[in-house]
Amino acid sequence: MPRIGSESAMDILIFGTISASILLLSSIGFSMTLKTEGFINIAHGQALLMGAYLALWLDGLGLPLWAAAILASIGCGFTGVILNRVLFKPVKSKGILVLLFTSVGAAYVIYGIVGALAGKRMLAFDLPPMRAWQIAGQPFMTPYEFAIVLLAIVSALGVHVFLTYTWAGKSIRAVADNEDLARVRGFDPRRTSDIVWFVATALAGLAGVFLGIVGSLHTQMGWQMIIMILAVTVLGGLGSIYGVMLASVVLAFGIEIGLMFVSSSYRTGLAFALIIAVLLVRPGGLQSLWGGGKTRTH
Amino acid sequence: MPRTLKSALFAAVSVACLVGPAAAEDVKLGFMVGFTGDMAPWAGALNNGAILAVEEINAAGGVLGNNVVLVPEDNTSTAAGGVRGAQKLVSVDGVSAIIGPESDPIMALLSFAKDTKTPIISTSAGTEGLDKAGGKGNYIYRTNASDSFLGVVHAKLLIDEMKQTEIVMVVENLEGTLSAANTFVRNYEKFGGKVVKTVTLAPGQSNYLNEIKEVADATPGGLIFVAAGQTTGVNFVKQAYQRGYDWKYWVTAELQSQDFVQAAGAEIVKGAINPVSSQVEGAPSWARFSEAYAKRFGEAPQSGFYQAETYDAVILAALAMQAAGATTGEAIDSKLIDVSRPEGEKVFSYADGVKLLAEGKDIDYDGASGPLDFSDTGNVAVPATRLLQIDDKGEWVSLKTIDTSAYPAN
Repeated sequence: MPRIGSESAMDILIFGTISASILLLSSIGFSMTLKTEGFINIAHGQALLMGAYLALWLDGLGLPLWAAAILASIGCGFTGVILNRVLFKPVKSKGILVLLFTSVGAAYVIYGIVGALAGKRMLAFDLPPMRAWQIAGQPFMTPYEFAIVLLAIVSALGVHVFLTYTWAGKSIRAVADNEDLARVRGFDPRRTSDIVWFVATALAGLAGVFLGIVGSLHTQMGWQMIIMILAVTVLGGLGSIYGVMLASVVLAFGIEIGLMFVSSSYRTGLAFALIIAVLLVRPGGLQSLWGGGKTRTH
Repeated sequence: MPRTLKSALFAAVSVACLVGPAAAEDVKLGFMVGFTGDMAPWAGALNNGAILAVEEINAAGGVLGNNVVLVPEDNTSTAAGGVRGAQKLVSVDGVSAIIGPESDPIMALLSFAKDTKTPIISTSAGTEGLDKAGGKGNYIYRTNASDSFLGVVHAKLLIDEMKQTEIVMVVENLEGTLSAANTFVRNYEKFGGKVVKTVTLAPGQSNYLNEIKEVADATPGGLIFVAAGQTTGVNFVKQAYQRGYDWKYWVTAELQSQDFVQAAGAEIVKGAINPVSSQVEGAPSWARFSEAYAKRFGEAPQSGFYQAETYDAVILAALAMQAAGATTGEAIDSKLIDVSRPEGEKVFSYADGVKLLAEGKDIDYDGASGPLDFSDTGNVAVPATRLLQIDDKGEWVSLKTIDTSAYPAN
């Protein structure tokens, strides 16, 4: 049995990085739809659930897990587009409250369908037990955890490059700022909206797969995560994609560092105390550090 | 046209409303457990126990000549779900009693039971919150053992059988698991054991690496006591293994399921031990139940899944109505303890109970799960404890059965 001294800086770095990556992957898509569509998509949590179970099903058909994860993610992306076209787009003119409640309804439908198809019992990916890699005799990360971290970094960079340098990305920002003006300038809001929903839901699906790999698959996982996603989004500044990235890191490390001083039973309390503290100083969330608290959110 | 359709529909609904209750003189019993959520692995077994009991009751002529029907309801394994479900069962379905809720839901229903005069009989809630809450007039009962008693059992077994006098505790922050842990610690320390460290797990986190580190720093020897729900439990043991710790676990009832082994991996959790309350080997009431269960469902009742406790709760409710001569919640509450008092004549089945009651005799129902001699607060003691362990193939197997009837009742 390895015997390690008390919580070291290295541990905090590793634990915090893993937590931050899970939060970031889960939240980034939520923030994208919030930014461009202007409403809180509660069904985002259930996209995580859908991704996890879709991958489990594909894996059960004999696909290797990596392929199942990619296909599940793409499947979620298309579901997102369909949800947008069938459910959200038609009611968009009714205002954000209607959109919000529509998304709550969509969340329950996805939750119900997954529960009905997969059953209510806890499931798991059929993976061999895995030890964390050792670095200088200390456990570092498991390959799965490492994959999550890599993926989180890649998606953060990818989303950044996409928004900044591509036509589609620019159109997302343009539509988010002012849809009418964007239309006049030749951006097609409809196509933009499809892209946003595809990317956002696909990332959520992928996050779900990883949540399942780290722990287990159960029907409550979407509801559990949406709370954390909301928390991260508020901390980052509503609809700010870079804000969310920073918030994931701040929250994860804040908790890990905080746990050095308080008992781990206060983990959740610590998270929300941190959010309250930040919002007291910066009511606009972390994005106001560079956004100046204005409504422009990127 | 739509208007005609609407009125036709309205008429049909009205007729259905009038006909509905009149056609059926059924006695309804609510059956509310966590069909979803943390308690879902148990729900199927509990459901089977209840179905078997209802079928036997109806085969023996029902209650006071009425058919008994079970109204299933999901409490989602939570307090909020329990309140929602109970309200629906009482105000919409009009059930005479509610059977089944676990620790979290039943603790939210204590005053509800009394206010609505609906007996609520738990068959798996261990919480010490029920130690003094139930009994006649309070409309709360349970047919399974209290954590207070299981706490004694856990403590005695760890010290006497496992010879382990120091332990590290890992406890999830939930009603059921906290209660199990608290009663254990109280008794463990009373019998000379020492809790080296207690690490609390916040529910629903994706990683517990920090908490695992805390456990490791306490350098646990022997078994680690884990009182956690399924999903949290899986995350904890999986991540502990990944960090290189080959700990062996002593777990509470929450983790005693095949789902837990499958999700965590047999390699990781093999050797984990859980004591479950059990009927003494060869008890006639258990043999009778076990045989009927196997015949009906094609599998023997698995240890630790409270089928017998649930079966007994339904039979008791029916016997109480029969004895009281009415099918109301008040009738059940007034007679539930009486039909199982040791002073009466022993019966092992509903049919025999009804026969003796018709002869005007006092009966003592000896259940599949134990003698069911209730205390004034609606609690029972368990006759024996079975130690279950996860073997190398990942199956829960019976290690040994220990007579616990002589253990001090807390």
